[in-house]
Amino acid sequence: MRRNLLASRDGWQQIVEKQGLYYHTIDGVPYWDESVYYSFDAGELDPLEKATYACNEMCLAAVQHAIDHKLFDRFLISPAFVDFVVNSWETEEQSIYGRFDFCCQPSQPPKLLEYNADTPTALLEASVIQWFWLKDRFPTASQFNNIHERLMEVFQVIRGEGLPRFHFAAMKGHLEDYMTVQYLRDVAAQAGYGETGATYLDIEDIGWNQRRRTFTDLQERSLSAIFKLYPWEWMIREQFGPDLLEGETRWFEPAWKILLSNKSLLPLLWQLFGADPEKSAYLLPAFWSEEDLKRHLGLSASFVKKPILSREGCNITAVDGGRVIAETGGPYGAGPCIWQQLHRLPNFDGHFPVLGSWLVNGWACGMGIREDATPITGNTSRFVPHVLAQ
Amino acid sequence: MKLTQAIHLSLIGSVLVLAGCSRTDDEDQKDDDKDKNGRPGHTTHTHTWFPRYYYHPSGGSTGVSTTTPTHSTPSSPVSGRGGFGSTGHAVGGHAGT
Repeated sequence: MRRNLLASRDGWQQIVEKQGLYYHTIDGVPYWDESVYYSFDAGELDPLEKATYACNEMCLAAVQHAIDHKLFDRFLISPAFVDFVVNSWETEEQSIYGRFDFCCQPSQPPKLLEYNADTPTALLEASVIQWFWLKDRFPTASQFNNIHERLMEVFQVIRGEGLPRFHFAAMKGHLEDYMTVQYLRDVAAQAGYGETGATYLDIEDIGWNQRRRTFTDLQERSLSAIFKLYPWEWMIREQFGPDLLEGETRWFEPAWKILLSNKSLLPLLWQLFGADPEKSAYLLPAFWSEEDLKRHLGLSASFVKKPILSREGCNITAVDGGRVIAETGGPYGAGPCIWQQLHRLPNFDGHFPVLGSWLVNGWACGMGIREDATPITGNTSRFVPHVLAQ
Repeated sequence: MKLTQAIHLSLIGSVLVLAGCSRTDDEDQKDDDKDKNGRPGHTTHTHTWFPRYYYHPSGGSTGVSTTTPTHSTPSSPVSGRGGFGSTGHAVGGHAGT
């Protein structure tokens, strides 16, 4: 894994805008940063693919374990929604996608930092924008990137289930979310839903028809299937939350993903697989209390403290040798936390990359790299493309 | 190759052709090889997605309108709305991760 400098394409902003990336610059600083790229030798990403499959397997086992042992309190799921989540799991509701974030140090197995299982973004960048960049700059080179093709597959699978229409919803007024959802909508349209079968709807415009006991769009049509870029932990706590228990809408990602998009997954994975020499190689020790962490790893253990329901790198504290080395603010600081052993990201001259490995329809199928000048990756961390040697 | 994989590949090929894009035998072979080997990367696929949404740089209070013109006034406005979205706006962030 090497970090390389390269002149950006002339007019790169206009180029990526034509491909759909309007949020290429945040507060005057490039978010899409093609003045840099990472390169990998042939076979160098094999461990990442292997780690992705291993982590997915462990995560699915963790869902089953959480259900069998009724660990819903750990995940802050109220009793009213337990059956809803369990039913979603037991009927094997299809998942579309997820992104595992790994720390990859040279000569070490990738270490799972967290799993963005419910509402991952940076999808358009990984699937489309870095692909066109590759074709422009390195036409004969390759990339770990089958994301688009796998998305096409999964929408064909879903269409085969007989769901006649597919809605796609994001929060009003947020361009990145909107574009992510529009990309997915467009793939679904190509996969057979067509422009009339795959339609966009603001999350705020989802309706609940009291008389018909169904969720509706603005034309009062029942929602048969909807992809919502909006987290389950918010949905179940909002006004329409109780109506989820009655409606017959198929939600994507499915409700069982609420158990995987929650930081309590990390200590549960360690509890289940920490003693397995092969599987634990991809995990970092994690615990539900600082006391447990220190009992297992020693009083001077370095750690990262994360709120169970935090998002986008908010409210994270990293402690090394008893000293806070990085800290972020945000709105999620009030709830319970987990403690994960600190694992330093590789440092390329002050740049810290996290490798996001995409899982679509059960396939490990692509990678997107985010880097930051701090060891905590957040919403504004730069997306940097990559090249894989043939 | 498993039968299901063969069906997947066949379907993908059909869709790409319909979308005005074709895959070469060489590309299919590489995809086959990758699946067999369980190895990532080395793809030469052509992406078929281009923006076909509605974007209004000057619209909305944030400078961006994300409402598509496919929306219309409900013909029978009997559903209650606004029951989702409040948390996202309260925390002032976006919902993706």
